[in-house]
Amino acid sequence: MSLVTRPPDRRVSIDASTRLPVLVFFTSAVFWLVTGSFLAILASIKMHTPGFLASTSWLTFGRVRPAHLNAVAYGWASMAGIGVLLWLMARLSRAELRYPWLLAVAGGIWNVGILLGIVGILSGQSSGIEWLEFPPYVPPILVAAYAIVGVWAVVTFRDRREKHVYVSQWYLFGAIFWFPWLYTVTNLLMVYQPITGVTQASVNWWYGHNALGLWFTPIGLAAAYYLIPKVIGRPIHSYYLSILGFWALALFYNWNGAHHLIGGPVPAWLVTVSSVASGMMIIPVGAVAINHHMTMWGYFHVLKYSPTLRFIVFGSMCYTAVSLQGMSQSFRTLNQVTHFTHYTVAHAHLGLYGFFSMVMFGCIYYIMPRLTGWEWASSRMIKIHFWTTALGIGSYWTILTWGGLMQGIELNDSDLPFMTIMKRTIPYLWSRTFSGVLMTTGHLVFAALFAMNLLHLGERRTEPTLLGDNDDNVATESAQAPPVLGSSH
Amino acid sequence: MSSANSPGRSESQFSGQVETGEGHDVQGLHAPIMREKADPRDGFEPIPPWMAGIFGIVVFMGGMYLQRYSGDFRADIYEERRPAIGASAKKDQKPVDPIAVGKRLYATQGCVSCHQANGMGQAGAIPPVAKSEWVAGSAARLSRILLQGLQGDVKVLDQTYNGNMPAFGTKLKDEQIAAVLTYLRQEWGNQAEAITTESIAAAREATKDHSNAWNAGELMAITSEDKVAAPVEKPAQRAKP
Repeated sequence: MSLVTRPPDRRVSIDASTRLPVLVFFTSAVFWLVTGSFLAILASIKMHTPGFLASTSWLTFGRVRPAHLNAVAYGWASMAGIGVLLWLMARLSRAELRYPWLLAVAGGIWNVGILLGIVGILSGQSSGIEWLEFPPYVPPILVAAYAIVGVWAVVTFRDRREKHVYVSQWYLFGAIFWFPWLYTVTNLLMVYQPITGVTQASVNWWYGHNALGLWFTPIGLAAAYYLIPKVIGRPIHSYYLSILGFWALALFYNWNGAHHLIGGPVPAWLVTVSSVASGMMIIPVGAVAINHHMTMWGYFHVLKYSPTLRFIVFGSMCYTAVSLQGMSQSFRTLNQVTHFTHYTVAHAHLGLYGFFSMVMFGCIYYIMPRLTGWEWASSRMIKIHFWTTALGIGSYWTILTWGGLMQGIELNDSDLPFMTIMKRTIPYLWSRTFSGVLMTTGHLVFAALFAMNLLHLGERRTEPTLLGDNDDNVATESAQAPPVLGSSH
Repeated sequence: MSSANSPGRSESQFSGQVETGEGHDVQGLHAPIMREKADPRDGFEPIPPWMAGIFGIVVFMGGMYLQRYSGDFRADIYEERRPAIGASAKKDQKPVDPIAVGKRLYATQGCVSCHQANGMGQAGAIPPVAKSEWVAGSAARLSRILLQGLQGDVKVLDQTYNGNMPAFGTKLKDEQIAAVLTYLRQEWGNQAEAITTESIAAAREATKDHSNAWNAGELMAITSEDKVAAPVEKPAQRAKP
């Protein structure tokens, strides 16, 4: 584990080799983020105003909601994740990507798949399988695109010049191998050679939960493990905690899916094993949380300046929160109340949005200037992006968690008519739409910033854009480096 | 690993030096490098003992939970609170309440559609079971009505009925017939003794050659109760409180 001093100039050529594919993936991701956000608002409005646009079959709730889920999961989150994965893998292997255009082609194929899939769902061809709603002609397209990405990530690792395999790479490797296994096996068993009975539900949730925990989570954690110590310039707290966190995740997460079937007609042991494995998640989550927290210890003031760090640390805290919440939900006692309520919806968004999406925003803020050679145009817009999304997901979670608890308690009371309970959730659903609008506003600001960066719009900045900056007098203040941080962001 | 060690790789000449943050002379290097700190390294702080302790407790509790609620890892156990299979199973088994079972059978096996929820039957066709001397009377006769059915005129509470009571002998098991008859004998103000599974088994044995429905005359000719073999283990029978 000798610490090798690296020739720093290689960084430039490595970053340059990732430019085309990573920009393709990021640009598409931002496009799908905005698309997915509008689908989300549409679906959310229909929850409290069911007549809204209900006469157009393409825009009915049953189509808009899965279209939203798939647009953000496979369009936004997966594409942003693959961009980060490729960039990180090249950097940490200290190897240029070979034939980067091939990966850009993979990005194109992936986009074709998502587009066909979303249009397919909206036109009524949804497969009806949760998390795999794309019509049956889409998965092979995604698998083809992913094959290029997966193989190329491994090829890049084979080319590595760096002796030490850093913890981020372990997680990237997990994601690279777990995702194709999950996605192809589940599609075979659910879509092409459908199994029947309760096994179908078990496999469905094996996939649905693992897509979060063994595809998005490892990429998000890899990014956090790289960028937190990178931005503050300090080693990660403990190699031993890193090991414990990674292997405990690899060991326990895969069992978690069946806790979605509590109360369902599945053998008791399946649910019990899942509940126990979910409880065991306290080990990987605790290890990662302590590791990141102790790395940050004494450096929290950097959150004032660095957009990257602010988003990533927010995301990491959400990771801890959502995991602890998920553990509690996986036990029958609480699940009896929260199952089939808005509580679960709040939990899912805290994970995929509060944790993963916020980490991805942080990554994009870090990576983009290194690829485009252009600094972010406006510190104020980054601040607006952060506060709208942070407050948006914060209020979304708080409102739906409370509303869901109330709903769950009332649903378990057999004296209350169902319609009364339904009507009582309406104020919460309006607030949910409001939170959604807040987040979408942030996404539009972010998309504008992203486009400005891509197209080199705005004033040329010579220093990284930090949150302490005052946009009005960039020229005069750019020379004044913010305290402590120097130029790192 | 081999690629990292192969000669000719440019960084091999750098190996061995300890990286200390951004230790190089960066003045002459390109701007993109200046903006970054060194790539992250690993620290080697130990795992905090309190944390290892908590994790140990969590693993232990996980094992306990698994042992307790896993239904012996059987594919046919769906209720996690079901007592474990084995020695303790018998002890935990709750006695079945024949009244509850009988009430459910009365509602689900079609009895209720003719004899009605109030047990009053239908004038002229279906005799009542409430207050009926047939229900409260001889267990042998009552058992036969359910086992093989009853056809033709029958006089109940001084009214004559002519319905068609179907046979349930092939449809229901002994303990089910016992349960539904016990229910009849203790509902709607009826206060007759419970009917045991054994007495139904004895009636079934005694009438095994009688496949047709009975008529009232044949039944009235039966004056003795069925001989019940001494029960080895009699399931608990509970009278209605």
